Amino acid sequence: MLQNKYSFNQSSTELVISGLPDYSNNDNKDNISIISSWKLSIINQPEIEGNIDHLKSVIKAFYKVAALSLLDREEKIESELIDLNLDDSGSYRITLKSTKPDVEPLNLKIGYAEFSDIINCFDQLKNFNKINIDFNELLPNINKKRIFSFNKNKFTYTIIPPLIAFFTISIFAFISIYFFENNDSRNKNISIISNKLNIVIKI
Amino acid sequence: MLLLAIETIDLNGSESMFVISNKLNLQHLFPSKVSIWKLRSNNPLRKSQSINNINYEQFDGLTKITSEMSKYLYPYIRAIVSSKDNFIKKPELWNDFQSRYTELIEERFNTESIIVRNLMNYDQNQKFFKKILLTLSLASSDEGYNRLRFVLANL
Repeated sequence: MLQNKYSFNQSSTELVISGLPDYSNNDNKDNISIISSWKLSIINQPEIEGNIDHLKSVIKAFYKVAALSLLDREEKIESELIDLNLDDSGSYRITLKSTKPDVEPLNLKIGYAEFSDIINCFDQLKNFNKINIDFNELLPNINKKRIFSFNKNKFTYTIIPPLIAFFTISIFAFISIYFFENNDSRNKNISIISNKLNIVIKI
Repeated sequence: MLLLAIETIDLNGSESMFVISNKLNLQHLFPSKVSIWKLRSNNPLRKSQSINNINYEQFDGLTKITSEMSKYLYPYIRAIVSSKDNFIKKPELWNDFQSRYTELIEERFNTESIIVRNLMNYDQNQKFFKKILLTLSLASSDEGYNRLRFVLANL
């Protein structure tokens, strides 16, 4: 049986999907419902290929990291088949883990340009009606930001400075009051003594 | 900020945005270039900020324009991002983008604001500018409009 093959391209990246139609599901002969292999080629990087589970893990990880990057949220993406994280230099570090024993994980480092090309290829695949992949299970499930959600950075920048200012002012105010009261009571003592002296003189 | 970045890349940006809005059949929302400009003036960082209430349809229209513009400009956006990724080898495109974007911010935004001053600081604005370009490049694909809408709704 002849396999169907479709490719999706964007600048530096090419995604090729091969597979067969599922005739039991009344598929057209041009469709792919059973993916037998896939290959992701990125310029200046080794080719990535695997089975359908690998493809689903890769798409899921890339979509999640894309959403997190845009929302400025940090979260480590680690699974049995792929780790994908943004490093300090602003590059994406990918670790692909093979299911075959004795195969070392493949480490890749890609920039924003290659990352957006890959996302673009996956988007083309998502909107291509001849390949049946359930994307609903692959889309990121990110909680919407609640109005009163706790943001550590925001808390640090907005709450801490006024609190420090308030405590500083309070401490200075207490010290000032303490000194003022001491001086005042000393003056009072002096005036009492002087009054007594006057009395003594009068006698 | 996204539309300003588009204007930075496309020198005739405001004209292109109007043409795109007509192409997307948004004439009822944006009958003239001024109507787009008025909505853009809602940005509180602008020098001449005008307070116009943006309704959901107008917000959606601007999102569609941004996504569609990024589709057309994707090769340029990608080239600038790539220049930043390989800054040591080819810094020219990134430097040009950074200086023109900073100039536009200085020209249009309230420079008394600390946020705007930080945006004009060459050392501090790089990360933010890169993120703006990533947002535009991810908004340029077939799913770009939905992605951009999701992000803007969750900022």
